[in-house]
Amino acid sequence: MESYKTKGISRRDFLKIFTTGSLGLALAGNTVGIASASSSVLLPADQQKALLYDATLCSGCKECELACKRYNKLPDEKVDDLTGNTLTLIKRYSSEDGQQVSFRKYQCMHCVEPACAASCPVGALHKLEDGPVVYDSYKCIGCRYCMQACPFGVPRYDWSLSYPLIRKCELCYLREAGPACAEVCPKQSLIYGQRGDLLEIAKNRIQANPGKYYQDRVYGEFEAGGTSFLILSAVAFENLGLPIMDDKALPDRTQWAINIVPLIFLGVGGTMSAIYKYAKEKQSNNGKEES
Amino acid sequence: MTTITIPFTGKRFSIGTIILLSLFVLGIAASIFRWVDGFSGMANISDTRPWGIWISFDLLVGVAISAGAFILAATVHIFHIKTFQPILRPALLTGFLGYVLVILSLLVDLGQPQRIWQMLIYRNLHSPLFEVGMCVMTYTFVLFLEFSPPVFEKLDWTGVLKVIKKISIPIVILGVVLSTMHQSSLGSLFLIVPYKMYPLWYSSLLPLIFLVSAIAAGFGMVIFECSMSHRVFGGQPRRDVFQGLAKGLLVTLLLLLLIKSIDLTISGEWSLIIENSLQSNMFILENLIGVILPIAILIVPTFRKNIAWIFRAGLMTVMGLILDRLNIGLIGMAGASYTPHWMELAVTVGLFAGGILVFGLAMKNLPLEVHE
Repeated sequence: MESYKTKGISRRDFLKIFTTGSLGLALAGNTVGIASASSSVLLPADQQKALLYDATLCSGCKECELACKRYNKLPDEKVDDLTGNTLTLIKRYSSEDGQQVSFRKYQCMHCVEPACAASCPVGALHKLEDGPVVYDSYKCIGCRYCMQACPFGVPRYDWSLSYPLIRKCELCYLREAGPACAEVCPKQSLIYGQRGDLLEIAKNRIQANPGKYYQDRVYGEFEAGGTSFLILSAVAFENLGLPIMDDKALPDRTQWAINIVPLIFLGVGGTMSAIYKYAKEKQSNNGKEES
Repeated sequence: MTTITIPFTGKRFSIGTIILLSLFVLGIAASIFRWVDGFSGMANISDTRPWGIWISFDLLVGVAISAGAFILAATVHIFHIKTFQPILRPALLTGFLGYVLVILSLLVDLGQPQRIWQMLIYRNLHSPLFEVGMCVMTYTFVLFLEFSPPVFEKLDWTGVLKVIKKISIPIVILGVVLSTMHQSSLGSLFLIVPYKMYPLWYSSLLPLIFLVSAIAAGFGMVIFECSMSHRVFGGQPRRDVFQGLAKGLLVTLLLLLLIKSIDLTISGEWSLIIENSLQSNMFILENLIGVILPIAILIVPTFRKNIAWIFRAGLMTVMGLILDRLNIGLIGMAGASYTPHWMELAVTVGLFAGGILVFGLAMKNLPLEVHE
């Protein structure tokens, strides 16, 4: 068989193999993509588990911090930022003249479309059907892309270990009664429930207290596609260190670049094959055929 | 050349080799320190500065300046422009070594380096880092195949050589495809941090800017390597090779300038350039050194034909790219203030020194000159 083949034919064969091969690969890639996306269908955002934190009711008693440490069996430490051992933190903010004082609870915002989960190359961070953004430590390769991607600075590293893993709040998703922090809150400052219900409560509070809440709105309703940790505050959100973001979900900013990958594969591969063929023919026409 | 005789063995090494060897050993020592004792005592990366010099330099710069391999392979084997034939093998070798160094530095940087292969089984197709990881793994193997003929020639394995020759064109095309994908995906990595990256650098066009700037740096690096190898290994520099590279570099830089200008115009960020902050000044510096000045040199026909000026333009492009990636990864990125620990630098410098040593060994021992 081999001897019947002229150079031209085998080259054409190769081109055919390349195009069908790459087409197959791209299709396979797409199918896998669709499968992985559909394997975990999330509940609608308003039915997801969520927390509402009303900073105006928080007295800064830090019972929530202690409950978190107890449930997650974490050592006590004196810090002023989240760490691998402090997954939630109450911080006190005061205006320069000391007139306005507010607390803020730091913890994972359990985004409706989490940047950490979209960026994690091995899917160690992912969103459960009913909302919590959780972490499968056995998958993690320790690349820290989630730490870079999260706009709230939530994922933390266990720097004391030689082979560190990520630590973050997982909304006590294995705990029957819901998050330990919400359970111990002595005021109505921190309440646990479905995101839609909590938004309604928050809006009722805004309506009942005109002028009390900053901009008469809930932080997290729309920010970067929405969060499941909702915040009410009398103080400007930026003064509590909250990032000011538009409504566009962060993973959406990356998705288009991912979507065109099969196109690049086919486009560049096809173009290169065509140029190769064209240049080769042009060369043999010029009578400069080389080995 | 000054040489030093090692006691007992009687082997003679040049001073340069001894320095490179010491740097390499120091880098390995620092890496072992990290694997045994963790990051806390040897690296200044932190919760609010998770990516340091290893990502910004070793990964981002390392991959970009290794782009020369796929550009030259495409020009010679696909476009049939044979001018670059004589320098193809050394360029493929540096490309392959570059990617090996990138992977080695990731093994230091990752928290769980022993699990790097897990990307093969836990795939997140929505993550640009997953795409980068898969492409880098595959492309390193592709580069090995592209570069391997001199190795098998040396070993006299004619059977293997025949197989590789047969699949060489698909392999080259695959290399171009994979390079286009991951050079741009390294830019896609940062699409998800619009609120952390300084607006002069943040752009929806980041994937395209990363790809085109990597091609420019690839040309620059090949020019640099050609000049250096003539200085170190002797031989006459080939004028036609340099002029071809200069032309490629000029066209790529003009394209890069156009894309960056369009980007700044669309986002309306020209005014940010003159706000005289650290970031705006670094932005001016990187584009002056890496884009404007090389264009200004190469656009002059007499300079474009002069090897010394081509060398300067190439070197500037590479320095500009290094600045660009450090700006994007560190200076333009919000987070804790960061100066690399000396042991972080030791890893980066040590791996680089090791790469130069292996390159030197290969140049001496493998048939890398193509005889026509």
